[in-house]
Amino acid sequence: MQTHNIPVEAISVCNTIGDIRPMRIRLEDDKHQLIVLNVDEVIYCKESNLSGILSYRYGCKVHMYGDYFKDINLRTILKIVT
Amino acid sequence: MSRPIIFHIDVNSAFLSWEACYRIHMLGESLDLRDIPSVVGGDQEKRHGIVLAKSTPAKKYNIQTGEPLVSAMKKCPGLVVVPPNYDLYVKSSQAFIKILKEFSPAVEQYSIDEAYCDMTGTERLYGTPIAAAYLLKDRIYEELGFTVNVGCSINKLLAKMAGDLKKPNMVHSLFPEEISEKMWPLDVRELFFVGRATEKKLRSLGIHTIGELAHTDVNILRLHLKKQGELIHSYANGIDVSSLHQIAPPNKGYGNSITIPMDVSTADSAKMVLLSLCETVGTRLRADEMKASCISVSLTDCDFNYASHQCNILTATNITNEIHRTVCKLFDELWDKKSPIRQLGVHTSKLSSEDFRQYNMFDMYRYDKLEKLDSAIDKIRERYGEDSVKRACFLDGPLDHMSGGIDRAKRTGITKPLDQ
Repeated sequence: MQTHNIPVEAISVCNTIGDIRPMRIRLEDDKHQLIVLNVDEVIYCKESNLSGILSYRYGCKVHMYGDYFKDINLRTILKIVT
Repeated sequence: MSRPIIFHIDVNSAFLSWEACYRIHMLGESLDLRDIPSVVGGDQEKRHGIVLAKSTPAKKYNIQTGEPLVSAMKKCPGLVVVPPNYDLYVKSSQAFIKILKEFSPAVEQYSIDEAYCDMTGTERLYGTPIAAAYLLKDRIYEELGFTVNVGCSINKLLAKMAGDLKKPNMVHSLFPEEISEKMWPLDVRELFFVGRATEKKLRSLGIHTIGELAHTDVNILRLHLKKQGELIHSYANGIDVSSLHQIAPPNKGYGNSITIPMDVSTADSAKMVLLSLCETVGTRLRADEMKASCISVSLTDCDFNYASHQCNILTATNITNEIHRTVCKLFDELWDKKSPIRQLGVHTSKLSSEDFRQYNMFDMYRYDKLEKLDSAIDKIRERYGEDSVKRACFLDGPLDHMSGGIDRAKRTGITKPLDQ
């Protein structure tokens, strides 16, 4: 299975206790076109502090073309402003 | 009462491990820098091109930390060189120290990648010292992604010696009953506090191993090495009475130096570099509300000849202009006005925090005004950034108005313990 590691733009929502959930992502596909995808399901969310950088990794199901679903991993780095 | 238990925790090839970990987990790279001959190296164009950290495969090519990158690349032509990322190192170090503080209430940060933990009395919490050490090592690896070496013993010296026994990702113990088996067969150079010069003297006395040093009459060592002889004799026998310093001792001096990108061959240019160094040193002194009465200048010429010159001034100061005036006087006395200069440094010592000034009747400078000026500039820089105010002579010039190597990164916690 071929994996791609690319930066994406994302729209996310915070719930009442501040948990973040990705809703929609925009990325450049293989044909260099910008595509917008809806996140249908967040399967898991993992917090990590690797190298001292606080980040969250989301395993998501994304509806791509037709009935084709794809599992993607989203990683966001949390910057804490004090 | 049970005996004390001290851990020494050292990150393996710290800068390189942190960089490799960041590249794999954050940037998604598949290549692990730790598995190939690689180094973290300074910028060669700025003549800071030395090896800052090396991987284990790079060690097999006899690459040493601190050696020029050119020489390292000669030893290993396929060597991968990555630039340093000090912000990342500070973050990784902070996370590392945070985990240690969860394990023990008494942690002494020894450097950016080394720390001592007092684990006395934690047996019921974590089990035996070795079990606790494995727990700590594995937790750091799982949570932060890099490996550490843990040394366990009853004092700081033995814990450090244990931590350095075999790397990477290992736990070693060096309790007093194990000294003769594990420490005494080691080369005398391996002992903490034995440098190149001491090693030479010891070898001339026929002392080649730590065991031979431990069995040598302390009077002979005192005769040849004075007080240090007594100290290394105690160390060779595993005796160290120093305690854990949880609060860093105050600075004994403040100094900055810079390797200039191009050799400097005129006094005016050298004094500009010195002014930029004085600006940094003065700012640091004022930030800590300290004043210095001993000022020194150091220079290294293009042939790597080092020289320094110092003087005491009448009253302690932290005024940039006053420091620079003294520095220029020292520089004129020190430099032969011929040799191109590669590196310049300004250092201050004999610190005091006194709030008064001994005025000189014949002094024409208005120090009160200069103090107020420096204080106003510091406030502006604190609020709007270091580059918000600079002297006109540095405008559009190639030189940074506040020089001092990697100071900006240092000020974020590289040389000082990090506030959690």
